[in-house]
Amino acid sequence: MDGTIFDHLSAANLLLLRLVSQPDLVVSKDLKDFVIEYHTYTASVSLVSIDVRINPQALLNFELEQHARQLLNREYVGNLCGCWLELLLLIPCIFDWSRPWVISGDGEQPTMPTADDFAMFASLQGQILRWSPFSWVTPEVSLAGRIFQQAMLLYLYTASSCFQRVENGMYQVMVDSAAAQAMSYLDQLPATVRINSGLCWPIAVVGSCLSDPLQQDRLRCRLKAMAEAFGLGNMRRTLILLEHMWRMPPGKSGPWTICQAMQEHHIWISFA
Amino acid sequence: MNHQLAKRLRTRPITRVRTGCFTCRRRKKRCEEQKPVCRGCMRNKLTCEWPADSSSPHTCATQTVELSPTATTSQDQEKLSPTATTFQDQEIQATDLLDSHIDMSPPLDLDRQNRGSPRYSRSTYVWSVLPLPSPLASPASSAIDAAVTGNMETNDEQQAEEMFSRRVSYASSAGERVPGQELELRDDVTIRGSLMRGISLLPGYDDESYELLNHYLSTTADCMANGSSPINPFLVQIVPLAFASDLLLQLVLTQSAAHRAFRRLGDVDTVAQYQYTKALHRFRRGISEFIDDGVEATPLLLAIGALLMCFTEVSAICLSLSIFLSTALSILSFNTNRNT
Repeated sequence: MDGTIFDHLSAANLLLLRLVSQPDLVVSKDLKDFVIEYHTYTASVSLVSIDVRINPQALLNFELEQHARQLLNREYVGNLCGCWLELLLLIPCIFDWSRPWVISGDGEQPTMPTADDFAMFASLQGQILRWSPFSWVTPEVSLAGRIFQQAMLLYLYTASSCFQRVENGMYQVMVDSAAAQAMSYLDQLPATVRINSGLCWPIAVVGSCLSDPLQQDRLRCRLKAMAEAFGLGNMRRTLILLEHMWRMPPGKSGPWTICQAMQEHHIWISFA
Repeated sequence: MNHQLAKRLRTRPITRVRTGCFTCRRRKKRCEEQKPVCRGCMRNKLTCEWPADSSSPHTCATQTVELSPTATTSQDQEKLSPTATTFQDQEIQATDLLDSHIDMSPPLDLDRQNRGSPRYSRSTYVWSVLPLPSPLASPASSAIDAAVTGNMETNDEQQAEEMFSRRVSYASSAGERVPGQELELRDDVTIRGSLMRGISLLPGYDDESYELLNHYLSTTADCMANGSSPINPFLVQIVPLAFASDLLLQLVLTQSAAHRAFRRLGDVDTVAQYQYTKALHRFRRGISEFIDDGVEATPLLLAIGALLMCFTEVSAICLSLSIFLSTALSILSFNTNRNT
């Protein structure tokens, strides 16, 4: 189901292409960079909220993505994407890569992955694991980037959750490890520090993978503190969403059921 | 030889005039030091002011600065009227008014110690932060002018004058002082008091809008940016555009209202709903003009408006009025695809 924000993003695609094609004398470079960052960030983190049957190009088209990649070459650090723009640009890739089997519903046999799918998985995992924050950013920004990194791994791993797996097997170990590492990074970052305003997406992804009540409570307290400090609606609604997801049957909750939970409980969040 | 001369000229530092009148010093112009009014000020019809001890080459920071009070007499209005002087002179004067305020204000601490706490109020620095939209200084404003230029040939002088008046009114009110009163720029109350006595910063908008703008500048913009880089684009980029576009200004006010409502009550209040309704109407109108008239002047503002609408959803979810927006955006997408 589409939310309002997706309509804005779809329309913005076309308008933004015109904007960034203007010469620098007309539209300043700083403004263009900010707008590209703004759109890329919003489109990428919003993908977790939408139906996988929707083509991600509808939110972030190829040309705008290329403009965003040019920012990477300049080690761009922004007030929305932090130092993890490179990770954000992997979200549409993971989304697109996972669609064939995530689309399949309960009880249906998921599409068998191909060798190319395995290769793509390896490539995506490698890019995420190789990423590191720029050496010159502040410790807070660096930590936030690491949190995003672990959330990205979870986003990637859980795309294959529809396949059969062994209880407490390799898959579960990797998921639990990434979640624990993310929580460890979060514990090092006070909840009222300004960088938290951009952490709704990784918190939602990580939170959806938590089954331990103690970890859930830690995250609950953190989101309450963030909502109190920042007063942004998406933080409170992220907590409401996670409370619903934590009540799901074991094994059902995850990043790829966030959309379903939002639809069922009429919770509309922009994770931007 | 010419190369050496050019190189020497390029590297020669800019030096301020140290013995001229205050106005020439601010404008970095040579002052011929005629008194009571120097030739430069007389030619440009500017206020010519001198230090109390004009033999001293140094400017006293606490010296009374008497600037032209605004908009109380026709003579005063003429000083800021576009017809009285050239546009550039007006901009310089308006810029000078604000520059003198900024020069003497407390240093802006972007790396404040308690930066981590979003509750820290930046209202002390609100007017120091707010950039003056000027076609001479701001790249964002050059974009605004380019966007406006598309309309300049049709509905133009009135729009341009309105926009100009808004800019000058803003600068004037930001720099206004009561004549003869010693300036206490380190006193927050005095700053706010002098500002409130000025011409409305937002002509056509009510006091509520003024408060919402202040809230955006001091709180909302800080909360939306994660602080990864020292320059907050929600201030530096968005605010100048908002002062040149009713649509973007309305969206800024809407964001602020929603944010403020959530912080107070944890939910959306009637003020936020009202602002959101207005924002939607303006957005629809902007899209309609873009579709119907095919004018290329507005896509910059519409694009940024669309993005700001996304963040309005972040501040507080308000879907009840979004149906109209969805419809309008569908029309826009269809029309744009049809034309490409």
